[in-house]
Amino acid sequence: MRMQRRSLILGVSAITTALGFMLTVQITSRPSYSSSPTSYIDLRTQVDELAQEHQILENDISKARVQLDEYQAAKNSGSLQKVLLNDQKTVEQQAGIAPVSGAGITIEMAYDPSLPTVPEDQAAFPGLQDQMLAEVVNTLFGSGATAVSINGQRLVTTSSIRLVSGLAGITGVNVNKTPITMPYEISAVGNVQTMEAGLTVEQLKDAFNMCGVSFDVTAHTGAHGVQVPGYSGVLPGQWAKEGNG
Amino acid sequence: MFWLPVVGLVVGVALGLVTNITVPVALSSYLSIAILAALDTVLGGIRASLEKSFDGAVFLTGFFTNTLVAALLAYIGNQLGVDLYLAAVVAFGVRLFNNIASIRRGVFLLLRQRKLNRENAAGRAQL
Repeated sequence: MRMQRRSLILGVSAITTALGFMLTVQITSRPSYSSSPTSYIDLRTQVDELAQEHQILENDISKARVQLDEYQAAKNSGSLQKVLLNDQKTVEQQAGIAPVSGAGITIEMAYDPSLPTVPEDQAAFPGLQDQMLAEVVNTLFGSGATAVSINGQRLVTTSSIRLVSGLAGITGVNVNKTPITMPYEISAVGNVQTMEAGLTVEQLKDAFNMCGVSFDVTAHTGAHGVQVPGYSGVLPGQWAKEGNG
Repeated sequence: MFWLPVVGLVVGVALGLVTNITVPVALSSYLSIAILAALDTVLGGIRASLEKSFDGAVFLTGFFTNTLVAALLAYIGNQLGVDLYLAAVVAFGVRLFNNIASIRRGVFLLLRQRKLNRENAAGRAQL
């Protein structure tokens, strides 16, 4: 009995020594995750997000590899400059810097006293014209327009359409920080039928007409039917430079 | 002699602090499961001693076997992509609570028995 108790105490002592050692090692080597999510679901979500990000980065790598191969092939054949110029042209077109032409529509808007107007709408139009122009532009882009301009001002991702008030009241609209006045002419390159259908569905013609403004849509189906100038304003990178932080 | 396990625990903790061993994060989960198995064995040993069925050899082999098998199970689960360590956590967790409950009952019984013995002894002394 005494022997058994002694073996118990010695055994338990040995085991507790080992346990104490293991516990200390585990506690001292575990990094602090206090700010990180610890639940299983949070971690699974994090893994899913990282997997998606990984997939996107893989796609980017694939695209970059294709471009690199293209450059290598061009370098070997001596036409690297041509490929780079083509790339520059594509980027400029996508950014809206380069002028474009193609099939599309033009919309002319002007005050027309002969239209059967709604007096309240007509009175409200000067204060709403920027929103109505933005609605037209959004409808055109939503209908697949690839390039849109208002009175020669190309609309790009950083463009703005703002109402301008002078000392004597509302005088007009600023597009790309450039003042424009009636009559407005919107030019859009894209699928003619889709853009016309988009404008019809939104009933924009009726909306403008009720304000006493004509809304004449003209389709140009020729290969260079509509000319949209390039954006010539300040680009975001012109003043803002990438920081170190 | 009963203070020896406590001294053992303190020595173990001191050893862990002095040696300053760092377990890689990848192996951290294996050590956690091994600690769980070790705790289960210790509590099982205490329970067995209260039930007067303690066997030193069974205790020692149980400690090492459980610890290693639990870590091995976690490793295999990791390799297979299945959370097998959860099985070990559940099994050891249930055993841990069972052992704690048995120890609690055993200690209560022991204390009651001692109290009864004392009362009986006092009664006999009065007679």
